[in-house]
Amino acid sequence: MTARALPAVAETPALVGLGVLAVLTVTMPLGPGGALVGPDLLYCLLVAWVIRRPARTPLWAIVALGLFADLMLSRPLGLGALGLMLVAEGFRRRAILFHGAPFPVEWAAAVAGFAVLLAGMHLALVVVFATPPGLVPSLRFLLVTALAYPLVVLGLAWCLRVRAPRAVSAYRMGRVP
Amino acid sequence: MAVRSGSTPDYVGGLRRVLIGVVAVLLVALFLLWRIDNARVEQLRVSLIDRFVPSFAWTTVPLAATAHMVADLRAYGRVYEQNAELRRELQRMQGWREVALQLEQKNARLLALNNVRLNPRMTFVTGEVMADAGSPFRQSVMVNVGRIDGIVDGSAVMDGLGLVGRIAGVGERSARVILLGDGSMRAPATVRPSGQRAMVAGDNSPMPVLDFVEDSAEVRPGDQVVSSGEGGLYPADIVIGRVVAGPDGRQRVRLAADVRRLDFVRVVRGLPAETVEGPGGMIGPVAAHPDVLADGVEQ
Repeated sequence: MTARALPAVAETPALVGLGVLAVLTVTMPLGPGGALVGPDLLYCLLVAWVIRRPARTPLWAIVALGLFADLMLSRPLGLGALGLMLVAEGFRRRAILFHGAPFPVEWAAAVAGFAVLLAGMHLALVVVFATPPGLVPSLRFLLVTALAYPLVVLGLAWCLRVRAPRAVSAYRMGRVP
Repeated sequence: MAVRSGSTPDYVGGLRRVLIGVVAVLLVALFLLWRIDNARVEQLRVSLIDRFVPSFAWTTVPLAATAHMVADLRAYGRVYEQNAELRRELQRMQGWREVALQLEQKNARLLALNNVRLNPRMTFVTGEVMADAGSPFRQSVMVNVGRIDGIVDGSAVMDGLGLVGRIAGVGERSARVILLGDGSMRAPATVRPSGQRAMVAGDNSPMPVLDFVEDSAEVRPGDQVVSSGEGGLYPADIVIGRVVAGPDGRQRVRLAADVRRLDFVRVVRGLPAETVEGPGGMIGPVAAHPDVLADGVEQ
């Protein structure tokens, strides 16, 4: 662990900056209007972050980023932020469970969380008689996001050294002898 | 020690839960507001995007350009077959070119015979696509033309070939285009050559459904679908696409516009047509306006 981790003060601005970047990346005009849907990078980022830094992910940052994404991605306003906040809070409470666990467990949990998020949004839209997105685009969205999650985690862990501290040290200590 | 460290986070956790609850209620209220007063919230959204997206354009443009370049590079791989394909297409097009030239001459002759005045009021503003909606909830794109270019809500949007959608939400320098595939889109259309009236209804899939056809037996796959101009939303006779039989057995429309690769779009800047309101003065009921009659008598 020679490389420096991010100082604690800079973490929240880094999170907000990365979140804005994640939203803007998705709005890039690569295949407008087509069936090609980008992954929900913001969700990946927030879940990965909240699992690794449960105590230092401010609630306001999650809500603000969610609202920003709602506005920019023309999603139902407020609904996306609500879902994101609830899922992130759920992961924050269970973050300790993932610190020792192997990555696939965390990955599966993140994907399951996203599926719950999509299903909840779908349900909310049906309840207020709005048009929910079709099943096929939603599933494709889920799949793409699932594939993007390990990449986001990899990026966080390698570039910014945002890792779950206990998991790394326990792993290292276990391997030394 | 254990008791103290156990009790303090619990207290904080309780406060935190209250905070989460309050924020959740606020967000639900915001969502309901969006549902109830959609137009105003969308206006807010457009004005925010109007503020943000142009200033962020420099961040997304290089990335998008790189992605396009990679896609182009990949196209090099099959340059040979593309070449052969292009040659075949060129041959076919030459035939069509002859047909087009003949038709053009014929058209010019007929126009001269008729002394037709075409509608000069339909002009276009061409804009570039800035951003995608990026989520499966809406099929829409942002374009970099707005109110200062004379665009109003509801203007039709085309690419070079056919109808793409319409404007929903105008900012000063940007506007949002809802694509025909969006679940909330309906466009009145005519199917040629049978002349059936129908409705092109988006359902969040790439190919919208052909709905409310008068007699669906008359409509066959391959028929051309053009806008009918009913209701005044879209100008008449803009090509929408061709009828195809969807996998689910419903008749769908394969759009003529290449909505998957929109770069530039043309926004129709039609001035509202003059409407005739009420009867003219001369035909109107004379008895109801004695002063009009009096004026007429005096002169």
